[in-house]
Amino acid sequence: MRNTATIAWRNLKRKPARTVLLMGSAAITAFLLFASYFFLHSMERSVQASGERLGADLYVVPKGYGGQAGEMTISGTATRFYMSEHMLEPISRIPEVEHIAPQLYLQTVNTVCCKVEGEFPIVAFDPNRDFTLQAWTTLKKGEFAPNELLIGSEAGGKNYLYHYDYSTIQEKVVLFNHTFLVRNLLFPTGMGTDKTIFMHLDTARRLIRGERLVEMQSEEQKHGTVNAVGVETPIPDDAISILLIKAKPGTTEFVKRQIERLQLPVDVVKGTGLRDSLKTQLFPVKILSYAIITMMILMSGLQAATMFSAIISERRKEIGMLRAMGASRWTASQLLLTEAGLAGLIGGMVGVTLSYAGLYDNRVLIMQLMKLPLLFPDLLTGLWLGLIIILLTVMIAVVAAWLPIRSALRIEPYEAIREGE
Amino acid sequence: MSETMIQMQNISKRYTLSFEVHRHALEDVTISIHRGEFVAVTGPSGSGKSTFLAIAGLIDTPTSGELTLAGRSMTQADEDERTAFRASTCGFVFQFPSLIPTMTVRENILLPTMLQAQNRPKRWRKEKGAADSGSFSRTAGQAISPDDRADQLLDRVGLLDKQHDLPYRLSGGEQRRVALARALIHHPPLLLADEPTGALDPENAALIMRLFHELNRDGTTIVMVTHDMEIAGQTERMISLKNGLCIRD
Ligand SMILES: Nc1ncnc2c1ncn2[C@@H]1O[C@H](COP(=O)(O)OP(=O)(O)OP(=O)(O)O)[C@@H](O)[C@H]1O
Ligand SMILES: [Mg+2]
Repeated sequence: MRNTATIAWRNLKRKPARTVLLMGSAAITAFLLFASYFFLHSMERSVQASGERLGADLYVVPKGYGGQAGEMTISGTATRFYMSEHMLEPISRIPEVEHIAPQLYLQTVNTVCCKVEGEFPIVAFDPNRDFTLQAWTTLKKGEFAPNELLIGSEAGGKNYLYHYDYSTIQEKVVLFNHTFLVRNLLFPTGMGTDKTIFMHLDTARRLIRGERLVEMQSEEQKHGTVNAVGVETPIPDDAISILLIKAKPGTTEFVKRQIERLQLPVDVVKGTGLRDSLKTQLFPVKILSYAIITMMILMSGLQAATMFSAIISERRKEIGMLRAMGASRWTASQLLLTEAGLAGLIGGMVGVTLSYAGLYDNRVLIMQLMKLPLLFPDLLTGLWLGLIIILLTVMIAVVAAWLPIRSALRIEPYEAIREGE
Repeated sequence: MSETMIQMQNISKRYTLSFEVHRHALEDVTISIHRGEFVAVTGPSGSGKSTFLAIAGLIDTPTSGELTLAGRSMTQADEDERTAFRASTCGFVFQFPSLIPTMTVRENILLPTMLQAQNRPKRWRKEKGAADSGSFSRTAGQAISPDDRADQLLDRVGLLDKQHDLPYRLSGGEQRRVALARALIHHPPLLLADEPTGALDPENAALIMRLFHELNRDGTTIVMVTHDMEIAGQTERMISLKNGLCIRD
């Protein structure tokens, strides 16, 4: 075995032109495979994450506001209704409740966010409990800080993309006479919520209480005439507007009844099913993308196969010669297959490394081109993907080489030798 | 000398050129060559000499006829048996350049031993018959290592100084000598050589013939194709082919 690999390697080294062709073809295949699957994966993750944003199974709102709940989460309008935070605790004790996250709708504020001026609804969320914005708060390292914001793509998010990765350029937004920093932008959903600006619930509470958050104010703001807190109508101290609930699969209806049985002053509203309809709408797109990728895999595989088989066909004479010298069919084929496999392996590794490095390195550029905050696969997933694709490339090479080898092995050695002349 | 090495009984090789047009490369050849013989095969171009050697070396199959090699019928032999014969018994020198272009002279010469080592694991159990390929008794000196044997052969064909060159740097005659050394690396009891002196000057041709005589003295059976009547005259026996027929023995 060691012998075979040594000989195969030597053969590759001593025919550099042929080897470059083989490896190049394998590298291109691996590159295409990696890049296309990588994008599909990113798109899917991103779309799934935006689905989650709209995807609470149940909404709990103050009694009498049930009719407005669904509309509110979609349009993002800051409707002013409040209930006590104490509603959360008993509901969270229901075992079928998987996640429960409070949100507080402050008000719509006229401000400038990333050079976009407009009326932006301000919503406070609890980063420790939230499950709808998770993917974006964790996208960059560290915890979501009190002075940070998540902005929708229509609330300046599109501009923010352009200096996404420059930690030195900090995008500042003035809200309620305090200065906030943009932490991340949200994947567009095409709905009203794209204009929403999200802030930390604790910060919102302190602002409501009328505290002056010195650490978040500039000199000007401190001495300014503007009211320290711009919150228009008084909001109760422990107020929340809505509870978003994710139930265990299939238990939505059951959880709804459980909550109603608790006799709290609340309305329970079922989710809009938007997540599911989003999935249904995206399904054909997904199928199509997979079909295109499959075609690409086939095409690049065929291309690699053609090249390999052309190059091996040249060597029918060699195969006949090896057999005349006493090599069994198995030994003769093993020698050439090892060569093809080795070329596939090295080519595949080069291709995957290039696309891996290229994609991760130009992440921001890609996001800017697509105008989307893509959720890329993490490095480990990328690594696995790379490994699988290298394996696939080796397989393509070996199978491609196997076909002409087999045809040369089927005839008598003397025939193979003379055909190769 | 009674033991036969090659026994051909009505061997024919026919190529079908088109539907009903056939060409006979060999026709009804019946010949036996004994162990230890030194035979020259002559005849005009296209008379079937190469075909004859290929069939005797089990690298081609006859269209009809019976073939017995070293006392074993090969007419029905399966691929494993044929491979074992080629590996253990036969050394083949082709008429045309046959070195592997990506291997140095020395690597080319050592290739058969490497290939056979590679074969072995598979037929370890299966090919008990191959063990009695000992019946193709090997010449003295078998105990030496392949590397020493390669040195010895390189020296004999006068190419020690070029052993690390790739084949394309060698002249046609030099390549021919490397091919001969390669055919001898595993001490084959049977040497089949297709015009081994073809591209050589008289001096080198004489060198090869001396080597052949020496091998033959040590018991190697040699069948050699040649156009050179002087060289053919140095052998014990001459077979002449014409249009696939054996016309003189
Ligand atoms: N694949 C083939 N198809 C058709 N005819 C063939 C084929 N191979 C060989 N022949 C014919 O068989 C005959 C014998 O060929 P062979 O190579 O044995 O001749 P040779 O005696 O070795 O000639 P030379 O001295 O030129 O080497 C030739 O007439 C050749 O045309
Ligand atoms: Mg010939």
